[in-house]
Amino acid sequence: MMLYTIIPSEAIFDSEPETGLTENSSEVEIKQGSVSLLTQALPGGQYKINRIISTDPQDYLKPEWQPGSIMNLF
Amino acid sequence: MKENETYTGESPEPMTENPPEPGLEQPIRQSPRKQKMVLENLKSMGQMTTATPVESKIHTMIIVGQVEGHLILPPKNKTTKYEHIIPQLVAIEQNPNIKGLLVILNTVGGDVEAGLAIAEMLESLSKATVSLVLGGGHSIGVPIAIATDYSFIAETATMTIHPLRLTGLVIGVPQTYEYLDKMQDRVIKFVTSHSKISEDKFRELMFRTGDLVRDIGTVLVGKDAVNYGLIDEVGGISQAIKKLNELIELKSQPPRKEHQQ
Repeated sequence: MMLYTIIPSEAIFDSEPETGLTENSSEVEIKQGSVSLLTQALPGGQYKINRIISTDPQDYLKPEWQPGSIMNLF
Repeated sequence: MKENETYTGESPEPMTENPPEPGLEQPIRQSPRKQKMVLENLKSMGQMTTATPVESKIHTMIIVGQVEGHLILPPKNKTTKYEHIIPQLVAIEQNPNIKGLLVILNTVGGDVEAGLAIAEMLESLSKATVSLVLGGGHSIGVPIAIATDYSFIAETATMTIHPLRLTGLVIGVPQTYEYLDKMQDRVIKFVTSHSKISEDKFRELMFRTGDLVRDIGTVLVGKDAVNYGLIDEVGGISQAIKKLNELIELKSQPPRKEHQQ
């Protein structure tokens, strides 16, 4: 493991548990075909989309996948 | 993806005071609150009115934040994960509909091996590839940027070239230094063999002391990177797409030429 970065390692590894943990603990990656959606689990089986991982630029224009929108899984 | 192509027109029952039809047509122009309402409406209906999506000929890959490899970084770091990028590249290579790939970089560096792996994958991709450095393409971002067929850098974007450092537990034996040196050589070899910069020049930039920025290394801004031969051209998205289209054309030509002769 070797990092080649301009960010000092203290800044990378020194995590602030208050802001850091809450966001990550509920992060769920949802596969939609070839696209991965990084979402945050909300109560009631809903997921808030945080980030889209796709190589097709058109996927980023889909209104239902806009970051911040809520999706239901059932 | 839900392949719900059937457009059923109006919603069965009006859910909000918003008439659903114009809402579906132009959600972008509306205020964020209204837009959200329309979106939620859409979802509660369970219908996606996407016209049969046309697959783009050019795909894009965004490398942002830290390149993450062997170790999951603490959550506050924005990362681009190896396990996301590599399968995407494999899929792109196999998909006959995809002709070109635009790699957009705004990275602060990251894992050496993951970075080199992505660079090698890009380099060996048979499709036309163009990279565009926006904001920053530092450290391990350098080999990734130059691994494509052609590279662009935005006028204001910067690239930092600096020596490798060891993080975490370091055992102070000569072997540690040798290992570090070897890793450094891997980066240098890749960069110098895939760009116009010479090894001496790149090493000089890496270890230059006069221009050291906060003990980091040499910072190349836009045009500097081009002048040193690291990046091919200063430009933006339109130039990058234009170049990519040219390369796609070029890659599809050779068989046709043979027929003519």
